[in-house]
Amino acid sequence: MLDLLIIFVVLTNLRLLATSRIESLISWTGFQGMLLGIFALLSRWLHLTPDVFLVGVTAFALKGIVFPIMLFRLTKTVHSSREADPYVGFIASTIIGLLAFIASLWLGERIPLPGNDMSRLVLPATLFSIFSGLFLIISRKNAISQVIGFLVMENGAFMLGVGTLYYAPFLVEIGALLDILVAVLIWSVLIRFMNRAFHNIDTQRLTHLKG
Amino acid sequence: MSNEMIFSVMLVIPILSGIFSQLFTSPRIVLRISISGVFLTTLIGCYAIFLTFSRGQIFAFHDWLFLDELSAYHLTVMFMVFGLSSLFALVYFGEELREKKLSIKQARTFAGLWSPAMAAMLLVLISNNLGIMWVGMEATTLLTSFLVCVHVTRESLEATWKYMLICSVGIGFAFLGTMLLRLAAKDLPLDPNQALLWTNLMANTALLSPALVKAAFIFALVGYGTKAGLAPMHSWLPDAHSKAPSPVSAIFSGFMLNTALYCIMRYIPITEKTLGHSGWALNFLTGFGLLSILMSSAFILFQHDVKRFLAYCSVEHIGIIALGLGLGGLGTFAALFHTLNHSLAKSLAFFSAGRLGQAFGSHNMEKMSGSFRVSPVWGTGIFASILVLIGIVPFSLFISEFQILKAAVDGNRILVIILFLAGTGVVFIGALRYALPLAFSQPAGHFESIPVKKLDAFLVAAPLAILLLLGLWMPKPFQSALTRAAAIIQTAPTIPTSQGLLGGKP
Repeated sequence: MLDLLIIFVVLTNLRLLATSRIESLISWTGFQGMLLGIFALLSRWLHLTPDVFLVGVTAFALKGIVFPIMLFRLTKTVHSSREADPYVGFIASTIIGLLAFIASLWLGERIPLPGNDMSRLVLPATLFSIFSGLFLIISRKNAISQVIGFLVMENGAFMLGVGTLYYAPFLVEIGALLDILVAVLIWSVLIRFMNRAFHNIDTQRLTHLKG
Repeated sequence: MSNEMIFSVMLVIPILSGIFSQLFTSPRIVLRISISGVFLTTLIGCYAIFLTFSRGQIFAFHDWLFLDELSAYHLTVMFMVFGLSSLFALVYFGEELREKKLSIKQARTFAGLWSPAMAAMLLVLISNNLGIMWVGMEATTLLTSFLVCVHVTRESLEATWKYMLICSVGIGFAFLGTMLLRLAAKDLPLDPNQALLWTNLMANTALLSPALVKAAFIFALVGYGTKAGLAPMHSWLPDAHSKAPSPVSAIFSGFMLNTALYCIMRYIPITEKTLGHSGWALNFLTGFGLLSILMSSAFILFQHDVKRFLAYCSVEHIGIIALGLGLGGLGTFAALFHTLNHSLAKSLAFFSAGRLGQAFGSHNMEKMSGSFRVSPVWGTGIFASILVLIGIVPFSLFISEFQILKAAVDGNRILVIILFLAGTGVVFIGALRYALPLAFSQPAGHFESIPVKKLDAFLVAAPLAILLLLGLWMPKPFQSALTRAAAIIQTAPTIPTSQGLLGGKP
């Protein structure tokens, strides 16, 4: 069951790499967030304490519902619905993504996880999520796509956190989730400012500061 | 006062004063409330620092928060930089208010974020739990991002965007590093809530998984290194430093970068001790340090904006500190000493650059030439601080750089010596080329001179006096404090412990 969830997360990453419409980028990220919330609950199902439960539910609510809603609203305000021409095309992105997944599998095998009570797929999937997030940030020009790249990256780190720690300190997990919430808030304000100053949110325009 | 009390008051006062400042409608009062929060915290902080140095580590909240000599030393530097920068904020924004360039909304933005930003850095320094340390570090990015664009312009938005994006990605890496370290500590026979505590990790390095510790260190180094401005992850730094208001640039350069380096300093002893002091982690720091020195020296030669020049100079000095840490031994001591020297000198440099920039209406170094005539006080500030930064005798920054060089010589690291001297040599010449006209040539037009005020003179004289004093004579208590702080990072088996213990190592 857990492996299945992890495979779904990997597939959403590949889907994100192949998508040009901002709305569907947001929905798929939201879907991934929900998967991770469920993953957090299921991976500790047998030791489900109140704090573990709270982390899972918060993650589900924030990553799966709140962030997508915030980003959808933002998209409406700034009238940006499509990634016009990314630095790397969508087919090329998918192929690079597949290659990166193979590389993550290989790398994940080489780092030995202590104990045998967790899925072997967690580490490769984490590495692949980090890669997908970074790749989205680098290869897309639209500011919202870049924010999504960051969220995907954080999702990867979160998966490693909940997938491997039976008892992550509650305050740390919640603190991390709150930090990301504030980060997304700041980004939406910044993107609105940018839209007002530059009349679009193409980060390619941000080339004034050099040297 | 109990330890719990000290720590919570230190964290709560700056946050409350930030919130409280929002209630007022006069920009001056708004600024003063936030700043008085900084000074109030400093008072309590000094007591905590005194306790640490006189009685040793202090713990609170089930050991989640603590102060040892290393964090207390950094706390001292933080209070110095924040105290001076807060006073300078009064000068700087006072001038903007006089010219009607600062609205009440902007004053509130600044005041509401300034003292909470200090609370976030404080949280990083007092966390024993590496996860909480990460939360604090991310909070510094979030709280300071709008400090960069107090004045919303296209350039400041661009700088803020890059700062937020690059640093968040970096901090994301650091989160992964933290998680990997927790994973490495899976076999620790401890309550799970205690397993990410730095003191516990240090006490149980024999039980950590070396491969995972290595992975954790690399992620933490790259992640926190991004925030610290180590090359090649430094690209956000010149933009953010040059576009932020000068008091903000001063704390960015003077302390925020050090906070990030401090996080790396916590990972060094864990990694080195787990790997049996093989120098594996130290080599990475040496490499990043040298790369930062060389890259910044190349960029310094082609700068026009004085604040960008100072920003690259920060990359260089952070590189020097990393190099010192990487060399170990005397190098660690010198790196910590260099932290204080650089923070003081760089704050002064940003103060002067900011205040002179207001008078000249530009930060372009050609337009700013002849600053002595416009303001003898701030002209001295910029000239002296650049001289200090390039390592002129008899200021203390020369001593710490010299000690790092000596550490390299003692270790027979020929390549390191050559690259270090080449980098700092290029910076020396490049900076001097800017500093001389900046101070002495004729102003390019008629500029209104800045009236001499007592506070201005104090802000220039105080850092220079400390730097000069420490350069000529190092007080015994300060030296022993530094040695004790350095000993926390080094942890290398000193001569007496190596007898009979080595064979027992797994």
